[in-house]
Amino acid sequence: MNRFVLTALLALAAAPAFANTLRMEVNGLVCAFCANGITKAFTAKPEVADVHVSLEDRLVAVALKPGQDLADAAVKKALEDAGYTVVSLERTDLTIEQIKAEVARGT
Amino acid sequence: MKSSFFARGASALALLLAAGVQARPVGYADGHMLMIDAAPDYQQVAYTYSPSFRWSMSAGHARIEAVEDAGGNVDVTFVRSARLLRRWNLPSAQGNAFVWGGAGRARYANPASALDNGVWHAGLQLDYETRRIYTAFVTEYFRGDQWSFRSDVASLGVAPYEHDMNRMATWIVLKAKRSSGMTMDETNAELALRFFTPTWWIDAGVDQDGRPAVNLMFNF
Repeated sequence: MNRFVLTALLALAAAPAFANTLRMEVNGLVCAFCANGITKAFTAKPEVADVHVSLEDRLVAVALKPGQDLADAAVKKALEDAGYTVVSLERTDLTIEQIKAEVARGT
Repeated sequence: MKSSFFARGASALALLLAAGVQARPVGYADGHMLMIDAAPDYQQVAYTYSPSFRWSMSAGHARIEAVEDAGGNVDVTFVRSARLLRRWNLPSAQGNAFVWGGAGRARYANPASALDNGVWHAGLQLDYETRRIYTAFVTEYFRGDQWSFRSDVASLGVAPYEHDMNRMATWIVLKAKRSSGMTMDETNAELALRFFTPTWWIDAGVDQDGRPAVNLMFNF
């Protein structure tokens, strides 16, 4: 019984308290030279593991490092400082590769 | 004689300052840009820093070679500040309105040259682009103590395919230029090929008289 409780507690502790990837629909993404600022802004943040920007899909995805988080307001501000408009923001447990695959499938 | 003398000097200074405004005069927050212009008769290096996506400051140095009546080369050192007045971020397009102002100081190979040493200028850029179409209108006004000069450039670009962050962009850009002031009033056209990725940009063009020009930019 004690072992079961301990295992359950360890499982709970290991589970992320928040989704690990931020996925945003962004307006104004038409030029790669100009959108470089998005990649630069997010990779400079210590909480960020990876960034994906797609002009085709009007998509910015930001993968966070394990145990790290970024407030929605901070994420929106980073995109606005890069010169763009955030249409929607959602948190997901999908990885960036899974998001790319999902978009490629058109789902 | 004297007016054409000043017109050539004014044109040289205006050309140098105008050549420094390419693509976007303001980048993104904490963005740095290095720009290099090269043509058979002029070269320029400029550095731009954008503290925010709303404004930037630039400094640069330019040289125009063998300016008649100036005793040889003309070297211009300049500073400029630009501001984004308005941006329209649309689902698959973006529009911008920029303004800027700056000043340059010229040095002549012949120190006895009677050309103006200082020039002020101001400009406005309106642009609209998608991933297939680029349009821009740039108007600039230059003024020295003894002359003024205006330059208007309308650009239309077409991309044969839609680029992305991992696919180099290719554009064909046609520019119509009108320059007026002093004794000068001329219109000409330039056709350029443009390639860029997130970190570098190159424009290589030729005008109707066959004069080539290359513009390089680096983002960091």
